Parts: sequence; C-alpha cells; structure tokens
Amino acid sequence: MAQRLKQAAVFVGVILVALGVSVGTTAQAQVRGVTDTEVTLGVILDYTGPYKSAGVLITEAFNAYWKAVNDAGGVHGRKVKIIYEDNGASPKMGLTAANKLVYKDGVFGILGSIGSAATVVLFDLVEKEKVPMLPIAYPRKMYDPVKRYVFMASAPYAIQAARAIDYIFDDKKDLNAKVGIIYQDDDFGEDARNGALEAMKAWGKTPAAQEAFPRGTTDFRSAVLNMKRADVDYIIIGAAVREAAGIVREAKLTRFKGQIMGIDPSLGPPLFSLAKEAAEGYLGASSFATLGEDVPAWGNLKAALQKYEKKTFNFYHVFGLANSVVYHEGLKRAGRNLTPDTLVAALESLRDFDSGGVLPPVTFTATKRYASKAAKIVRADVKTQDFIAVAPYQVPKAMR
Amino acid sequence: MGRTFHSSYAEEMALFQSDWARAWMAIFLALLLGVPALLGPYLLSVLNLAGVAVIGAIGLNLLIGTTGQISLGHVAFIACGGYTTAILAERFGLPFWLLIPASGCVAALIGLVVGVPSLRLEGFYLAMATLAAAFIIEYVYAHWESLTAGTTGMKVARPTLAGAPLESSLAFFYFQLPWVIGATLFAKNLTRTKVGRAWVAIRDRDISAETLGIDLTHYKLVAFIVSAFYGGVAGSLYVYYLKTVSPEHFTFALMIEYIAMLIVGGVGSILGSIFGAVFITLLPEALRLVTDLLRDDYPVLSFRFLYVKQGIYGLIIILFLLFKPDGCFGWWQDVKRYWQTWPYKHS
Repeated sequence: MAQRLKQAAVFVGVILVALGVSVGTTAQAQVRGVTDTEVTLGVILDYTGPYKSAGVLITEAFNAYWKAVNDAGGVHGRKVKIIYEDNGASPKMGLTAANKLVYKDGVFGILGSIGSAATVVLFDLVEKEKVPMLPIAYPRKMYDPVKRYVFMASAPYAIQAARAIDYIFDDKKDLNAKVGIIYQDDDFGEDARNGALEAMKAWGKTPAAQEAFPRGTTDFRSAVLNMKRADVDYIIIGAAVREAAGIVREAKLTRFKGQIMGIDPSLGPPLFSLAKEAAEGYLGASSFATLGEDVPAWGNLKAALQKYEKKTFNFYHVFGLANSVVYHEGLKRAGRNLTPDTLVAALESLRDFDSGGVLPPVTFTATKRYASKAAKIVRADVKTQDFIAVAPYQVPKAMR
Repeated sequence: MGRTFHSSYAEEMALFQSDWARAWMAIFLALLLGVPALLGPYLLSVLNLAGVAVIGAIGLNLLIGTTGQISLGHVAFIACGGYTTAILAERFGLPFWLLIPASGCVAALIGLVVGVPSLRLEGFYLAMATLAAAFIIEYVYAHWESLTAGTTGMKVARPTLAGAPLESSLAFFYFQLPWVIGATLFAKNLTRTKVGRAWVAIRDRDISAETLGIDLTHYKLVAFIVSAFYGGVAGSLYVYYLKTVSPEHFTFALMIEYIAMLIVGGVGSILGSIFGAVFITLLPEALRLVTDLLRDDYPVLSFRFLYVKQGIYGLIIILFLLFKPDGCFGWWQDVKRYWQTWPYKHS
C-alpha cells in the first residue's frame, strides 16, 4: 500500500512539474514579442487542410523575404523571427494556434492567417491582446466593422468582382451586355457575387443568370449551359483557380461564345495547366502584380527565394510577399519604440504607399483597413503562360 | 487492494465500486478544479475544446459503440446545436441555461428524423444515409441566409454569469466543467439502465434482441435522439467558446475527428470516449510541441514535420486499429487488472 501511494505521489508530482514548466513559458516581456535585438511574429497557415499547397508556398515567400531583411540588419536593429503554426483551415485549430502564439510564444503580431472562418475566430483575441495582424483572407465583410489591429494587404474579392463589371460597362462601353455570375457557395464566392451585384446596381443593371456550386465541384456543365440558355455575353466567376479552369474548359466544350472573367484566386499558373488552350483570353480582375510584370518587389523576392530557399518563383508567393512588404513598412515607420499601437499608427499613416509594384498604391485609414479599393484587368496568355495587364488599376464606380 | 467481489446488489450497482475508485475520483476532481487555475490561456483553450469534444464523443459513442448504429452525421447534430445557440442568443438574447438544453433538444429533434432510416438500414448503408442527411442539413444552414447568415457566419457573445460575460478561458473552463461532468454521469448511468442494456442487445444481435421483446424501433430512435442531444449540447458550447459560427466550423474533417476519437479511445466505452476526445484534441498540440522543439536546432526538419504531421495523425489511428483495437480504454483496463491482481501477474 505504502509503495503504491508513493508511486501515485510521484505520478501526480510529475504532472504538476510538467504543468509548471508550461506555466513558466508564458512569462511576458515589456512589449510582448519585442526585445532589443528581436521581434517575434507568428504566421498561421494551412499545412494539412484544403489550402495546404498555398500554405507551403506562402511560407517560402515569408522565409525568403524576412531572411533577406535580417541579413540586411533587420528592422531598426531588430531581427525578425517567425513562428509558423498550422490551422488546417479549421476555426478551432486556428484559435488554439493563436492562443499558443500569443500566450506561450509571446509573439508581437501575426504576419499572416489563412482561411476566412479560421481567421475571423481570432479577431476577439487579436483585439483584446493587441496583436497587429494581416490575414490572408479577403472577404470584405471580415473587415467591416473595422478592427483596430486587423489590416488587409489587398483589395477585397467584392471590389475585384466589381472592377470586372466596370470593365464591361465602363472600359468596354458594352452597355447592353448581359452578365451571368457563377460563384462558389462559401464566403469567398459570395463576397465576389455581392461585389458584382453591387457594381451592376451602380450601372442600373441586373444579372441575367446566377449559378452557385459547392466547393470541390468538378462538373460545371449545367452551370455553363444555364448561362448559355440565358444568352449571357459575360460570365463573372467567383471561384478559385481549379474551379475557374473547370468552367473555362466547359465553356470551350459547349462553345460558349462570350467572355469569362474571374478574380485574383483564379489567376494562378494552374489555370494554364488545367484549362490548356481554353484559358486563352480569360480575363481576371486582380489587385496584385502578375508574374511576368517587371516590378521591383518581384525581383527582390525572386533573388531571395533563390538564395535562401533554393526555390523558383510561383504566383502564390505573392500573398506572402504582399503581407511582408506592408508589415515591413509598418515596422519601419513605427520606429525603435515598437508597440502594437505605434505599429497601428504607422500603418494608418500609409498614403498611396508604393509596395514595389506588388500591390496598387496602399492606403489605410482609421475607417478603412484594406490596402486598396482598386483592381486592374489582366488577360491570360497561353503562349507566355502569364497574365498581361489590359486595363489599369481603377476603383469601381460602386465603391468610389 | 480494490475489491473484486460484491456482497450486495447495491455494491454491484455502485458507480464507483471501491474506496480506491472513490479516492482516485476525488483526487481527479480536485485536480480538475485546482490545476486549471495554474495554467495559461493556451493550455486552457485546448482543455476547453477537449471538454466540448468529450460531450460530442460520448454522444457518438452511445450511438455507434453502445447501440451499434454507424453514423457519419454526428457533425450535423453538433452544427444544429451550434446554430440554435447562435440564432437564439443573438436574436432573442436568451440565457445560456435555457439555450444549451434547447440546442440539445433541437438537435435531438433532427436526430429523430435522421434516425428513421436506421429502422430499415444498417452498417455501411446506414452510414451513407446519415452522411447524406448531414449534407442536407449542411446545405440548409449554409443557404438559409435570413436565419443563419449563410456562409458569412454569425458572431456569438460568450454566456454571462451574474451579468459578467465569461470572457477568459479559465472562466469558460469552470462554466463548461459541470456540463461535461453531468453529460458523463448521465451517459454512464444510462448505459446501466434498461435502455442501455437494450442498446447493447441491439448492437450485439438485433434479431435476438427483438426476440427477447426489445422494441427495435423505439430503442434505435432513442439512441439517435440521445446521441443528437449530446451533439447539440457540444455544438452549443463549441459556438459559445469560439464566439463565431459558420458552415466552416462543421466540416467533414470534424466528423472524421469524432470517429477517430472513438477508435483511439475505445468504441462502446464512456471512459474511452473521454480518453479519445482528450487524445485527439491534444494530439495536434503535442505535434506543435515537437515542431517547437525542433525549430531552433533543426529548422529544416521542423518545417518538414509541420508538413507531414497529418500523416503522423493518420499513422497513430492506423496503429491503434492494428495493435490496440480497444483503444486507450483497453490500456486502462490492462492497468486496472494489473493493480487488482498485484503483486501477482494475471494472464
């Protein structure tokens, strides 16, 4: 009996010591995540869920960018350390990851968080603990109302879709065009659809047809045939690249004669490999530089990717680059006295900031947390496997 | 040494059958009440999610493990509970003590409907029917925008106690604990009643059970209702804790997690449900810990580990299926037997 009690006491003791160790790791610095020589940032990406391929590529971009920054002396003498966590695109994994980053690792801010639901769930924590963050999720509703510590390094999907509509009625002056919308029935697709509807309303138009499809759909025949039946001249797609390629392919098979237009998530290189020659002429509204554009930010990232990661450049690196450029500028402007509030003030001071060409001119205000309201129109060119700008950055009529 | 025989029916029916069991339970409860106060918010957030998972897993285990009705629709019941709480809390400002049971009841009602196919189907076909029902339910809450805000989702305020919202993870832990304990005790007792024994009889051989006079229709539907009620309560607490609800909170991956909890914990055991829920909730965090340990000295390996950790997750489940099909509960039984016969070895 005595021996068993002793064993039990040792067992309980071990548990308590283990817990004590974990409690000990939550010690706070004066400003969380900031020392004289280092700033610690967290990144929450998807490495095990539906966005895992994007997660891997965005990680490469973050690594390359900040290694280059650190090799150049860091920011105000502080090296930037990044801790990566997986959210599997799940809200509960995202929340535990953020809790770990903030309370255990003591990060200063969050450089990126992917997935809408997995990011929205962090907002209360971010606001309560003052964790400046830049999500990699662009539905407009996420940023309305404004959260003090949340900024978006892009234009929302709604604005991109609205720019596509403006391209039809403003740039092309095709005022009699009939427009249909095919969208994924999740927050991302709905945001694009809502933007398109808002823009059409601003032009006094209504869509000729609308088709929703669930995420993971591979057969778009009925959706495209319904568009043909409604005799539309333009199809606006609120979908990512795999689904957009499916729609484009189906449109070619069914001899749809109109123009198909998408938004940023549909503009990656997989469009060419999946849709082949059917991708030719596909138009997209984009708030990022395209792969082939000769902009300084691209050149720097390409060199850093080659030097630090031994990787070649990929379109999905753009999301890591855009967040990095904006956060970097915020850190620079916040100065040596870095606190969450000086960083917010620094980001709010950005007025038409030149991001090295990766984004349209960036402006944040106290009431607007997305980098820009502008998008440009690009065209898929199968020969060069790239997207070529055909209309400049412009703020859609409905959003002016 | 614990008692291995009983001299009265009361002793046999006791929930905790020896002084040792009662003493250990008292120590466990004391730790459960005392230790969280020493933990940081990160570990508390994991514990809170484990608490939700315990309730959900017990509910699923009552249906699959105890009654033998294979269901892949449990996540839809959790979603029903979550959405009921979100809608009624935000629109009518109802208090938690009304909403949590109400969420269970709404889910139970849906469970009754989903359970109807179980009267004619079993095994793989029942699994497919429940999965199809889950997809239908998902379609409803993802598209009934005027009620559920569709894919955008809704915000949910934390419950308030004496006018104060339970914002901290510690406060939520103590708020959730009685629900977890209550759900566990109820399930434990339920399995020892006429209903529980009827469920086990149905699981072991439904034709024999019917021959013995057990009303299959009644007891199968009761199993679905009770299981769904547990799912609804879990969904309510889940949404209260996360403070948001959207269709992305209730994916098929979550359903797989619950099935994994049963496999790892032990199918057909309440204690196994708890082991499984805690294990599966802690596993990603343990993998995070390994990534952290590797990060400074082996950064490349740390990244590789980050990417392959889902494979490790799958591997653990396969290893359990191959080498410990009775799950963690089997280990628990082995340990118990060892101590009961100590210092003599049992075979």
